[in-house]
Amino acid sequence: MSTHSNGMPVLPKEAYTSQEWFDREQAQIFSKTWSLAGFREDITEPGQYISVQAGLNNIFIVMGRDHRLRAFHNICRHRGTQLLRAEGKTQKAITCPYHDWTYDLEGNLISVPEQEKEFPGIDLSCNGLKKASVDIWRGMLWVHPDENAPSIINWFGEVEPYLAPYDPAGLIETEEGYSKHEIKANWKIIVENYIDGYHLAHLHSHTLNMYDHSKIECEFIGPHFAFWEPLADFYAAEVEKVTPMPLIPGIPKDKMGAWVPMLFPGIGLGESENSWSTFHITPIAPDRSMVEIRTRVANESTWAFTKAAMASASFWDKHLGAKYNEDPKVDPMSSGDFMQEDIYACEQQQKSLQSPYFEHGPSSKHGEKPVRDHQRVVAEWVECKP
Amino acid sequence: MRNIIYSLRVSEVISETKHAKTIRFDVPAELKEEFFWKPGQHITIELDVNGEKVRRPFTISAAPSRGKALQITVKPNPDGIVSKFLCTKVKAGQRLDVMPPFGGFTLEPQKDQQRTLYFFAGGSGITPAIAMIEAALDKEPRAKLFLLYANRTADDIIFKEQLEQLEEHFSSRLEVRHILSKPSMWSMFSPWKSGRITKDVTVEYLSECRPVAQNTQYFICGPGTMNADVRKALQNCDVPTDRIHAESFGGNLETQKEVSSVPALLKLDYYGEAIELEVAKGQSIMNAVRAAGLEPPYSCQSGICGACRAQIKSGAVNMQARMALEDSEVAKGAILTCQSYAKTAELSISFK
Repeated sequence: MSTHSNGMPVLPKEAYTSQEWFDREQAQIFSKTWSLAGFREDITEPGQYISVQAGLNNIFIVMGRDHRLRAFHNICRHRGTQLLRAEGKTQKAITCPYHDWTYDLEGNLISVPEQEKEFPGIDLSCNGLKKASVDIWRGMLWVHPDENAPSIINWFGEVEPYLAPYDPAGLIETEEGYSKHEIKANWKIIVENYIDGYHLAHLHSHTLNMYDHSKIECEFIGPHFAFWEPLADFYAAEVEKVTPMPLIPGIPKDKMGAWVPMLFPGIGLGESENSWSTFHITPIAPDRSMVEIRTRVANESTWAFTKAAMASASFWDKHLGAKYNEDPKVDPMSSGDFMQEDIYACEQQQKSLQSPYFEHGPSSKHGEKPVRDHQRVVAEWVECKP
Repeated sequence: MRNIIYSLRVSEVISETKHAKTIRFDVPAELKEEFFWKPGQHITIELDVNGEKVRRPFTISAAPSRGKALQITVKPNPDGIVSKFLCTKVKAGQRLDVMPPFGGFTLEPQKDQQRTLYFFAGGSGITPAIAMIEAALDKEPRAKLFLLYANRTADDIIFKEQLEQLEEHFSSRLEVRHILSKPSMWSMFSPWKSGRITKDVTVEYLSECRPVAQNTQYFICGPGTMNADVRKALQNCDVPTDRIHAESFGGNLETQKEVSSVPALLKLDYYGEAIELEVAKGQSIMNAVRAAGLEPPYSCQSGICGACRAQIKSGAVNMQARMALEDSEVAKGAILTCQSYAKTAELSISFK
């Protein structure tokens, strides 16, 4: 490797390609942190549940009649069978499909078929479900595999002042804003792309130019990355008139822009002047990841959205476009869609990692500092965190 | 608890409702530490009634965080000599005999947690609730608080304006709802509901006041049977017992059941001093200890305050009321001596 004054990547190539690194990250990072499990609206009624994979743990969340959520490891204490599937509604009890062992909503084992004959002397109270933790933060559901998890406020509290000054729980989810992408790249490549300020003005020269990339304010706050940039001048000048969607209330005029934090591990938020989204990266394999995007917008009428779209259409035709002018069906760089541009860049990078001629290049002083910082956070967690 | 009585000067007496009064005390600088309290705790007032000393606990009705004076808010209880005296006879400038703050029914604000705190208060049960609510609003910035407050009529609502002001000032964090059992037709005040806090009302209440923070805690402070009713209703809604905290206030206590007892030899570890004494059949441990010339701490004499708590080392007792103790504490040998009668002929008990 060449040395360079601007800094070199911290992690070795294997961190992006080897099963061993992947397994270590699953165990040391994704199984020991708060995981995004969904939105608050995903569970609204007593008995309703969802289950989520959080690193090595499958955890289900269920609501009791007190409307409080409980989280348990989705493992029957008998033979370990998964108790609940993806989502649904149960009544007062959870029954394992295998031998009908039944638990109440507090996780207590309450019934074992043929108990006296097959399990004489069994102490049901020692065979309750293993508890996990669940909480709500910024309108999102979070789970942690540890029953006595550190408070979610301790985990996110320090980065909170760097997030958008509105409450996402007051916004409404849109179907159009939902998408799921299987990306052929290591999860860290996707994170690094998300937090790299250097590429914004280049890869997205025609797709994200509504923000002023020369005025980025960003830094790591603990393991989390905080990022803000203001609207570009041409847009800021008449934002009320030309915003393509109704503005989200609560943003002071001088802070109009985009907050794009990357919460650890791999949970990006896109908090802008007119939309709020989660960008949730789940590692599947060393070279594959799933990204699920959910979006919320201001709680306004359909008419308000139609009006904003119509009033701003010609303005954006003028200012937005594609990086290249090839066939958009074949060339992601000609799509005019920043998400396609990013996916293309990430997948190409992952591909090149396979080449024997691949060598890490120098890393830029300012724009790519977050990339190195994130690598340091990962290295620290994989190596030393408990 | 230490059994020391101080004479404190009443600085102010305020009428809260037609009947309820708030009594404020001057606490001299040298006693500030002694009289520092946790929200939910009470002080004990001792009166001399026809030559007999009578003690009663009264909850401190303010949070310590607000720089407020030590104050209690009292509603006269028909059978309560002390509460009647406090509501009718006490004037500013007068001195009262007061024992320092005490009690295990408290709320400790946790500033780095997010919690949802539910309060179910009835009548004068608002006194610990208001202290806890003020403390949580001041010292636990992420706490969301819900208060369901039961009264007979709108005129009986203690701290009505104060609650309105708090709700306005902390609009995103405090939500107060009223339930009135005998609402007046002529009142302009419209409560959330008429009637009592029943099982159905609780279910409806919890479905309307949903928790954001999933660490939920439920504080019940009502008179008479309200505690048992609300506790049962909460448990019916799947609330785990360890999240429910209760203290009983005023009004008709559950009738004390008769307990059997035997005469016993009591070996006492009295703050490190070994003393042996006899307990007669039908005599409470507390009375036996006091008959021996000792002055152990006590206050309410009805199993609520926990002032007379001691630890049983060997033998067994029958206890009457024991609301001040959690089941887990009883399992570990905690007893309320004013409610305990010897069950075995030999007993060993320690006061600390």
